[in-house]
Amino acid sequence: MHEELEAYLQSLSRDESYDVEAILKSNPLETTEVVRLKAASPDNGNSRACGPYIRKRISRESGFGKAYKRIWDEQQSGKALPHIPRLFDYYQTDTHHVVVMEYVEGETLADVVYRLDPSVELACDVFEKLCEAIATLHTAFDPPLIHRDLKPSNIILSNEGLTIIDFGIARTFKSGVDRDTVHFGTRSYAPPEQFGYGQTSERSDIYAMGMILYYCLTEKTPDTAARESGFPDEAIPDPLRRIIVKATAFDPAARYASVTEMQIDFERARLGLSNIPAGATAQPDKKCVTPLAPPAMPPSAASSTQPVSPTSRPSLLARIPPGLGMAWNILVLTAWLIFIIGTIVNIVDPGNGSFSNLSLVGRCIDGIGIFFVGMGFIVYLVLDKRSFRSRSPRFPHPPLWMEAVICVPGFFLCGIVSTVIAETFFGI
Amino acid sequence: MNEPLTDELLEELLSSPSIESFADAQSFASRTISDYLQELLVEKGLDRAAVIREANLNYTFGYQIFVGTRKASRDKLLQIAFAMELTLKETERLLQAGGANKLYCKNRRDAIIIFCVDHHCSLQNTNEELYRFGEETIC
Repeated sequence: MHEELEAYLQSLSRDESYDVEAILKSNPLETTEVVRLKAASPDNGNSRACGPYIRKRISRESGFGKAYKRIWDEQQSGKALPHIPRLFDYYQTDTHHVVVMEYVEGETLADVVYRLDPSVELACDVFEKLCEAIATLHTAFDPPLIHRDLKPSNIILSNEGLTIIDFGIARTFKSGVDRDTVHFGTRSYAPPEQFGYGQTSERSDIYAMGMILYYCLTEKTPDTAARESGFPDEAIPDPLRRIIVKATAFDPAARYASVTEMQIDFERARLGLSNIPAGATAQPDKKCVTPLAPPAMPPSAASSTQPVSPTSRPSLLARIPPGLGMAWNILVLTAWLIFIIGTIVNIVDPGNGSFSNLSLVGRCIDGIGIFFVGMGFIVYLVLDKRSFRSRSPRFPHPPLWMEAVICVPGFFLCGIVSTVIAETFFGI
Repeated sequence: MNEPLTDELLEELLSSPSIESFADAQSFASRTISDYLQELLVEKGLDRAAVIREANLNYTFGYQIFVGTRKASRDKLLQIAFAMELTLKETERLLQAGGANKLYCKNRRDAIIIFCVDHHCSLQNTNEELYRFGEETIC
């Protein structure tokens, strides 16, 4: 404990070492500042101070700010927490929780939607990243960390990706508790239970995510009337509207149980909206909303996408239940395994078969080339990859036509090359 | 519960961070040290004699503090706070009720005491840490 106390005293002394460059928020409960660590010796030529950083002072009496302690502990233990700002210091004074974190450059989601205009492509791109970020909060922490204040201004987009900020009112989910002890939030995006009905949970963040999806599609701040009428808007395709309705159900039990479940449903809906590639669009420029932002760069070109018809029927793939897709995958992989086993048997004991005129090395090259690598292309092409796509949004997911262009010629190429090599150099 | 709340009710709920903190703030202003100590004894199910003993106080002196006939120094109040295992907020209130200055994190000694209160250290451990950092011990 002595070491911990020593670190704490050093943190307190560092508190005097920051220059405040801007105050972003100031109220009785919380102050958010942009700060720089003062240069140790301005005369040694290296006069540029470290920073900028964000420093938050959150009143201990408010009951807020404890989420930062959890994030700090997890990051100090070495756990990587993507989509969450890196904390550089955390300590408590007699009156405040104080946290110093990285200054996340980029645009808020509100700015991006304003600049690029709301669209299905933008919504699909952003929502995919948002699901991944919130899933991190809910699964990387045990018990889950509930943000409770998800809204467009608390989501920062940059070329590095999406970052969730402002964990001031985030809390830890406590099982067996009827309700939160402190009620706060942004009305439009906060679920009903956040105002006293019960305890907030992951489903509370899911409610906010549904509202954010609505915002990305319409640039409208959601309200009770929109929710009660089922979000009728011509800018919202039916598959996405169903997701918003379910995510924002009044009863938490009627919403998605987890972000992963919503993400899978969203992926299914997105596939059904024709060829919107994963990771498309929304390349925000580096213009930042704070006074210390570097000069705005010209916006990079958005990825091209095909126009989306809001009334198009879901494709055949989207209508296949995931369970059937999984069964198909098992069948395909089993067939491939049988091919591989048969190939191995043929390599070992060719008899009078097609490999009989090749040496052992030749048989290996031919067999591997055709039935391992070549067949692997075809197997990859025909597998149902929806589940994989939803679980690993970071991986590139080219459209089906592009996969076919690569895999079919790839299969033939592998077969031809391996046969030519085997016949030419390893024939008997 | 299928009916949404009215806007008026939402405004009421939104206007206070928590009902407990609102009620708490309203009722604390007029407490004396003896009232507050008595309240803490009841709330935490503690025995006064045990607390005085744990706080390393002379029994008569400690009793007089509890009944309000003797004013305690800041360090004596801190001894009682550690003996009762008070939270930082309760400790601050005890100091306030006893007419002493609150703990101030910019003061190194106070910062160590704040840390030890937050980490539920005993009076002895706190004194050890104060000694190791070259600060005056509480007792």
